[in-house]
Amino acid sequence: MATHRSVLQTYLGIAPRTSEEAVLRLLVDLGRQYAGAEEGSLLVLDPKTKELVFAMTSGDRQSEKTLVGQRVPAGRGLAGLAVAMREVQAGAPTFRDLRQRKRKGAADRQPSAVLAAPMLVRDEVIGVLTAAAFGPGRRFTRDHAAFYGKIAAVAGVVVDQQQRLAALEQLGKSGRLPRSRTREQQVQQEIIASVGRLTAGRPERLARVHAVLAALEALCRGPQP
Amino acid sequence: MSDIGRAIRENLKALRRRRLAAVEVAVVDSGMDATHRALRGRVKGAWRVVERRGTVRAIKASCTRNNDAYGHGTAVAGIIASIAPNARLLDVRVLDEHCQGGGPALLAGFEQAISSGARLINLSLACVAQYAPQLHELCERAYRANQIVVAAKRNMPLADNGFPAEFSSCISVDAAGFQSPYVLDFLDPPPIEFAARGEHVRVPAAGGGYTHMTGTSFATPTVTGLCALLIGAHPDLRLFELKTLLKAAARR
Repeated sequence: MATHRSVLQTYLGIAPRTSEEAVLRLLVDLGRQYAGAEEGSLLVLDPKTKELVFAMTSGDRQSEKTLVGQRVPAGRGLAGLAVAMREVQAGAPTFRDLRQRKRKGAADRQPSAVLAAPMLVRDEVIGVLTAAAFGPGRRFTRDHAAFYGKIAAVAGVVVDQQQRLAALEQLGKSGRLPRSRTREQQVQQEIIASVGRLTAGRPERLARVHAVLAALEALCRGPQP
Repeated sequence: MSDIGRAIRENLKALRRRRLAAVEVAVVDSGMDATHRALRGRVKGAWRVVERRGTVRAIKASCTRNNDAYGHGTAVAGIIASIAPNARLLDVRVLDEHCQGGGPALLAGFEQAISSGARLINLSLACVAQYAPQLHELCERAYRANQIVVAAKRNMPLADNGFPAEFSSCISVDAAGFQSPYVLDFLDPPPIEFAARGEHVRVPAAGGGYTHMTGTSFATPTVTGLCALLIGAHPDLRLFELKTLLKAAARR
């Protein structure tokens, strides 16, 4: 992890604390750069309050300080629409006439285009990946949306793994988990479960999903000697 | 494109200027902002799906107010209204600001759209395979009543293209980067049949003003609008005839 951390910090300017965080940050950054967006972020859905919580941002260092931990209602905007429709959404979030902008009290720095892709586990939304582009005439294409959707699908698996492993570790601490199950066995089991969910009974999709998960697993394990 | 295809496409444009029969178009979505100038006077009926005591059902709503939490339905309805001046819109809201909805709400809304007698039903949303059997039954019901269902392909298909778009009893739509709403592609292989303008589409925003949206959700009402024009000119058209006309008008 130490080698990973220094490489990520040197070349991408990100300093993750865990391997899972590194994978998520890489995914957010990859999606943002592919779409040519200035800012990207990962929001996790709080199912109790139906709010989206900013978990990490990419692109603007200031955003990481100001946004992480902030909550926004999941019933609004493109991110909310992505949650409600369980679909990637691409559009311009702000009104295009001055009357509306004034009424909304819009700030000067408004994004001109936004992408929001839901992170799905089974059919439940657990969060949203967003990207924002600034400047006149900036737009995201259908290709950007499709790619971001795929990135969000993988990020969903990672977040789900993280949450499940945390739950398993909690069980382990309370002594309710068989001692024979190591963390590695748990990871394997979770990956198999995720593949099953992603392929959704369509075996021809197995190879593609397996390739992505194998790459992720390699990343999570860190460099081999 | 064949000569007949070119003629149909030219005719589609010309239809807008002709006196057409009114066509009722149900939009099963997030609601509509009936106060928006793009929709004012165009919304003829409204329902919203609610859950009460564990039962999901559609109840009457105002068709003169802003009924849209997200702006999605307003955008979809705006596209139909701009293409087909003869479209009379029916607002069936299945998504609300509390993120309630999902499969049961869509089923209830779809059923309401069929019961309302709408000639065209626009579904710019895709449901998961879990609800495919019930959706299939509703699509068949619509088919037998000569009601045309136009459904969106999923933007980012993982396991399927989304339902009901996978059914042959619908007109299924993908998005393309065309500038004109009159340009279509016929897609091969099935199940998704047509691609229409769905990138950076200028649409009315709920609350006023306009915005731009991208995706299959906004390509679907483009096809619905074209169908409304064709049905307005030839009210007896059936699903297979509409598909044939659209295929003939397609670039490929």
